[in-house]
Amino acid sequence: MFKTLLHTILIVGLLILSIPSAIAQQCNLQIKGIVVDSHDDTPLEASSVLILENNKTVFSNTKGQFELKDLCEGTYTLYFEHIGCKPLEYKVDLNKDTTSLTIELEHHIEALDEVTVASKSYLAVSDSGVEKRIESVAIQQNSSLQLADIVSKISGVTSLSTGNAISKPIINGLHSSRVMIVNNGVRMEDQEWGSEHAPNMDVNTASSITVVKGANALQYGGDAIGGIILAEPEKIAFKDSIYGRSIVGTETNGRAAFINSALIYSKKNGLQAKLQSSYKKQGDVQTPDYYLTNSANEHKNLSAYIAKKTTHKGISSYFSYVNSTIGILSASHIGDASDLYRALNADRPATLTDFSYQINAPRQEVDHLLLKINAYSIVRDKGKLLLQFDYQNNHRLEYDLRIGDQKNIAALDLKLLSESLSLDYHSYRSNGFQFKSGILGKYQFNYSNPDTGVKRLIPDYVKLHGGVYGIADYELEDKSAFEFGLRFDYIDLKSYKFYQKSRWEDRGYDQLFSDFVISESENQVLTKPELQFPSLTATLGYHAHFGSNTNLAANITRSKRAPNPAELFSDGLHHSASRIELGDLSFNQETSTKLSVAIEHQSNSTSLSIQPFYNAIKDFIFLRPLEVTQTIRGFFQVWSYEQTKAELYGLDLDFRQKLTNSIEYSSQFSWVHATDLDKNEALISIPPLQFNNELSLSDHNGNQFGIQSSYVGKQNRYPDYNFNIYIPKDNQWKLIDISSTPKAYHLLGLFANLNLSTQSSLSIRVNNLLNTSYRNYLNAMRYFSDELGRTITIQYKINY
Amino acid sequence: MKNIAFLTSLISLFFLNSCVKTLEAPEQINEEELITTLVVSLESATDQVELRYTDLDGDGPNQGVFQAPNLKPNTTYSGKLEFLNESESPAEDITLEIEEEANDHQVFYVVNGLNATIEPINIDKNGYYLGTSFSLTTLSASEGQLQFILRHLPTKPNDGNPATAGGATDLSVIFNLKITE
Repeated sequence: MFKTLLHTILIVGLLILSIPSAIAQQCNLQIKGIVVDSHDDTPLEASSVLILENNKTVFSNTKGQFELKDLCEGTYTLYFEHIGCKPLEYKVDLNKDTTSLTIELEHHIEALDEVTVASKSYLAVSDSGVEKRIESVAIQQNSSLQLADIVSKISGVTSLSTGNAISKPIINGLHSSRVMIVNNGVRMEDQEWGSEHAPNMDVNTASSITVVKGANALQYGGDAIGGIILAEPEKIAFKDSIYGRSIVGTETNGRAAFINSALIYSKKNGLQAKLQSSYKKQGDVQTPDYYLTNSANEHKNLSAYIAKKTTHKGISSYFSYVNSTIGILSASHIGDASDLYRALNADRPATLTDFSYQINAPRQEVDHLLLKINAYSIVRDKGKLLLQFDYQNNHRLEYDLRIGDQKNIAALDLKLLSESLSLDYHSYRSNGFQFKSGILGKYQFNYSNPDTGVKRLIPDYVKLHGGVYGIADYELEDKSAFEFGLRFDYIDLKSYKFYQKSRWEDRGYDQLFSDFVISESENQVLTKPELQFPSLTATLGYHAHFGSNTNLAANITRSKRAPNPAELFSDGLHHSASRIELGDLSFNQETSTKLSVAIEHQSNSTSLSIQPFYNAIKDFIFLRPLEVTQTIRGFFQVWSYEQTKAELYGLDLDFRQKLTNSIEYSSQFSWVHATDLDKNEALISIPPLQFNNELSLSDHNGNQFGIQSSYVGKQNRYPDYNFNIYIPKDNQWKLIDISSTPKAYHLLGLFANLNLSTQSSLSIRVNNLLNTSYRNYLNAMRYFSDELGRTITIQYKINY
Repeated sequence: MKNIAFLTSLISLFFLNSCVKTLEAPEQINEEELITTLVVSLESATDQVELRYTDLDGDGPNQGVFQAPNLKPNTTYSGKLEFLNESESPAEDITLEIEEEANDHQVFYVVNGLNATIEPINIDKNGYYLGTSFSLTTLSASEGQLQFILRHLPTKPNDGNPATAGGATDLSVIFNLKITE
């Protein structure tokens, strides 16, 4: 009996002892290798090496070398890819410390539908631009976030928001029409001129998101004077397989639930398909002290992709549908300036309610349909010819507080149809020389539904756009490279617009634009403005390596942006801003000259990137208050779009230091200084200084735990747009302080990513850990309410 | 190349399939329930006064026109509000619609500097104030302002204070008035 017990104890003891060794089975093995061209053994730089078992990717360096570290014993399947090469699958049995491999890839056989990645470094959209990329792991760990919130993890990128569910990216101080978003090769056309119009794309459709801090990637367009955001789909391997993943999660704030699933099917013969869908529902969110009435929202998305590719040609089609319904904070729907005065002087919204999932008016309902078909063909092993057609249909409905028959009729109902056809040729590098060239034709139709019974904010218009570009790139012996690009665009805009007769005359349009008049009624004038905007964009860049660890990229780009419909045609009350906004038909194009530089140093344990920029913009279009006017609805400030000479400069910094094998510190810093040179005053809505720090701890199994700190300064440079109005109740003239900026704030956050098995993982994030009350200068709701309090997000991911 | 030829034909089909619309002259929108004019009729046994504010171009650049004759002291006026859209001819009386949708509307009053009190009279179907008719009682001679605010979807019932009643403002007009013999 005693003996049996002793045995049992011994066995249990042994079992316990054996657990750590099982957990800590050797996971410090590594694979080293070199990727070369099978024809002439030249090293292939920027080849991707994917471990299919754990989805980890590394890239080869300039000498074709790569390294896979911290691997456990076992069999791995490596998948090698390089632009212009046939991908290769390679099985390795890993049982000794270091395994060395030489991988030969057969060059000049196209396999991937990879348009954007040039041959320099894996980041490069263009050779000399300043770029940063967010990888699929980070996207999947933040599955419930919006595009702007994800890209604002990059230095120099912030988000401009209207409440918690509408946000759009700001790059180096510029946003909206100045930032181009390219979703799966298609330039998004979704009424992006509006600061309260979020991009209609779901981040879950993207596998990587690259931010180009400038207009230098001319293949996408010439007018992105703020920058370009490229969301790219995942690459699917050429093998017989079917796999998928699902992410389900919840956020405590707003009691949100979200799910995202993707299923991928592929065949060795090049047939590929992907189906993806996501859903998120969130109720009213809360600040540390109260719920934000009517801040609930709901997002749906469905996307499908099918392709047939061979080594020399391929055809693919992509479809995506996004639908969002977003409640707008009730407290922000105000009347005249006296309401604004009240809101500014109250520390919280006048009416507070309990939690609800209900989305009432005011609210936005937006549908976005995107369809793309493209084909490519390798031309005589020298380059790739691509043909693409895309179709987008954006339908935006904005509901106001209305009653009676109009209760369920939107106050704004815009349909924007866009179709474009493009033909591009991208050559492979030969004798150091590479070029890209293409031609684009685009047609847009905007329809403003008159059933709203409200004066059209944006008129009906047809916009035709033609573009042609060429980019040449020459690489020298020492791997430094020059890049030169030119692009010409021509925009023809025809529109029908009703003006109030009094406005038409007040603006002097009856003198300036009498040609546009079609007919006149008692108090309105029907006009047909026809405007043309030809533009030439040029970019010059240089890229060099100093030693093996230091890179320099410098780029100067001169680009032009045509005024958007709001800047040209606005004429009326903007409810959520409590102001009247006026466009100007006589605007020129903006001309930006931007110099961006990136100096990067990378060693085994340290990486540092310094990115200064200088952007001079002639005829910069912005809103400035003109006067206060009395209407039957009370007193309103009148803001008019104006043009000025603007200057923006600043600095972005990224730093990363491995402190030990398992502890890493990283920090980011962004600063922008922006001035209206004509009036010699600061520009409005420029992001304040931001400094983020993160300390993370990780183990061999990829488990990660970290703490984040985010400091946002007070913007001390802002224009004084305050005004006075008479408040009868107090019998006083009162100053309406709309200009002062919120105080600086500091937020703490925690995150943990746990790999539960090779197939599943759990991510936990805590934002605003200390439940700090603060307001954000770049949130239009800052006049009315605090920002969100503590939010815990938990999500579970399973691969299958 | 075959692929590209195929794609080209597919795309041409797309275009031919009338996905391209031509721009046509749109219909004119005459804003529904646009209020251009507020008429305040005040009547007492001995006096009859009409206050009026008119702004025919809505949020356009032209300023509104006031008509605000003097009131008599120590008088109780029975008041009535009329909301008109005079940008159409004949003018549309929006008061009727407001009274039909009384549950969703309310008129708020703000008196400042004037020695006078104002109380709503008419009510909606739920027994809460609508206030398009009211009683104005003047006291001694004075000068000041009388403001009328029309809101839709205010929280009902409320204490008559527009600052906390919520809703969306349809009209807010301030008359400068004198109470004098």
